[in-house]
Amino acid sequence: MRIHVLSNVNLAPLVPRITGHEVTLGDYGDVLRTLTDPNTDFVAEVLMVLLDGDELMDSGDLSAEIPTAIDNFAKSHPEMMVITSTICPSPSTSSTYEISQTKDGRSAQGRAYESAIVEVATANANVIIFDVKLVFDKYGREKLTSSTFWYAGRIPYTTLWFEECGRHVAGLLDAYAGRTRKVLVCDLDGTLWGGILGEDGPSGIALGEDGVGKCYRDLQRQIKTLLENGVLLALISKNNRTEVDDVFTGHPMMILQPEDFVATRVGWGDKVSSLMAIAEDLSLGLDSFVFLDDNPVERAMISENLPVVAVPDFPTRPELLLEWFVDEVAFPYFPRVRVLDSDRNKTAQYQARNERISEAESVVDLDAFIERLEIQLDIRTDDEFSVERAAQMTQKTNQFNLTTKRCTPDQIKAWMDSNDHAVFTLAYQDRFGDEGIVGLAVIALSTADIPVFLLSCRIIGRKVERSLLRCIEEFAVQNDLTEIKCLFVPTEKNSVSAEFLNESGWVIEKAEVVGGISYRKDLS
Amino acid sequence: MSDPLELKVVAVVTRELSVPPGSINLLSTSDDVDRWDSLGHLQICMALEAEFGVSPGLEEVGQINSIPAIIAYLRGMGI
Repeated sequence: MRIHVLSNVNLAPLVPRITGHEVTLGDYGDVLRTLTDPNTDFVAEVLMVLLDGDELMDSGDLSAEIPTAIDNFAKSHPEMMVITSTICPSPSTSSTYEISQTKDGRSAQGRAYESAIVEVATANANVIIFDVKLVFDKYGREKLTSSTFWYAGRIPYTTLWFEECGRHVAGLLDAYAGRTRKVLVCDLDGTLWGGILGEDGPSGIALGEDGVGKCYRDLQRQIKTLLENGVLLALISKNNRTEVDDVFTGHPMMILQPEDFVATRVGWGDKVSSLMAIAEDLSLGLDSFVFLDDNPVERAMISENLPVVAVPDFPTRPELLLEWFVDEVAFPYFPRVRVLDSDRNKTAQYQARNERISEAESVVDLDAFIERLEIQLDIRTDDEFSVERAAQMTQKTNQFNLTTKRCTPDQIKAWMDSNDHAVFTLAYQDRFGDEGIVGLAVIALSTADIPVFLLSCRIIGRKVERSLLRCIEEFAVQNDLTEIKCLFVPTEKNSVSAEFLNESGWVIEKAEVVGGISYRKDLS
Repeated sequence: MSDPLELKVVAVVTRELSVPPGSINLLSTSDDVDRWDSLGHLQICMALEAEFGVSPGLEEVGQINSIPAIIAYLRGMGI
């Protein structure tokens, strides 16, 4: 768009910072004439009146005349969008506290000016307000104003002010033109709540009105606000559906509800395929989507495979979630100028879409992606330093866990000390970070049985279970075993383990034995 | 010209004045470059503030009107 900027100060450095638009600058101090002269000769789709409060307050009647002039201009140019700013009157006067005390004081004048322009914006659909306090509230006057450049060339602001205002004005123009993303895709564990549902259980996740839990509840409130402003929400989570349903229906601190999401994919499929399926179901382009996930590997998988999807970084500390979401998600991707009734009904319009478990056939080259992760595994046998962590994993891991057998540190230690058993621990790191010990397997040589085989849900889907199994197989062969066995104990949560057995060469030995299904794998 | 500070100053001035690469050298002054007018000069000074974390005062702004003067000023500020 073509934008013509009017100001009572020198805003030349703003011109290159409103990116993506053609910006021209009116003559410095020529605001009232341009607004009132019927022969005004600039050519633009947008007129922006961006005034410095200090100067405006010093210019007497101007502060009373400008709102009326904007009103008249907007009415006589209905095809043009008019952006007008709030002002930040400066307390830099020797009147000290007095400026705030009377109805004629500078503070009161500033408030009267702002009330007047709000009335103008309310009365004219083509007038919108840019609130410069957004910038001043965030950075403060000290970082945004410069007396040096003011006296050197009537530029009252620093580069930071110009950059921030340029960014916001570009955002306003995008919002006005409807150039915003449409769908916010959310992960669950570590994103909408703290902790891992599959390990911590519905009552163990962090979500509440205190401490860390409040960070996530506040984030959910902000997401709800986006929803109310017409943004569609979708859910993609690697979890078991029944557990997720338990949280939605039973957790008293959930702000977001199942009906808030137009699409839900909860399962163990890759998230790229899930996101593509949602885009297809909603008939929306991938460039309408923003993907929120605390896990850098999931984010990389989306951004590498679907580069048009916006994938903002995620803060590493929960206390930063609220500010991050407003600054890095809401403003850049979902700017809104006004919320219309039709926006509020958006979710209902899409709600009729069907909902599926995310077991869709993978559409991405998962192996190539895994290759690029630069995974390094450290598999150790009978490592005594890992006893506590190994026991803890047996207590917490529910999803990729063949037997869900819970063990104490003493039992793990006893297996490590025994000649008949070997305990394998798997530590994982990739180019995004070090996850520590996330896999465990135990083999009993005398029976060829594998009483424990588990993997933290944090790394499910990266095929590292194959490496753990290969180690066990090599160990078994070295010890003259020709087969290995295991008992799969199905639970409501560990169906992902059964898939692993079926995919990696195990066969059912007996479908009905006490406690589960017995499997064997031939090594000869 | 291999000094990193010199390279950076030339790059900042080139960028702020929107002139083709190579137009600014270590001896350039505001008198030699058409686009280095009063507004261009203020934009250079603002960019120095943002890039190097310095805050030239009003009198210094009037003095650092050449590449050698800018480099000498920055070195004087310990950069």
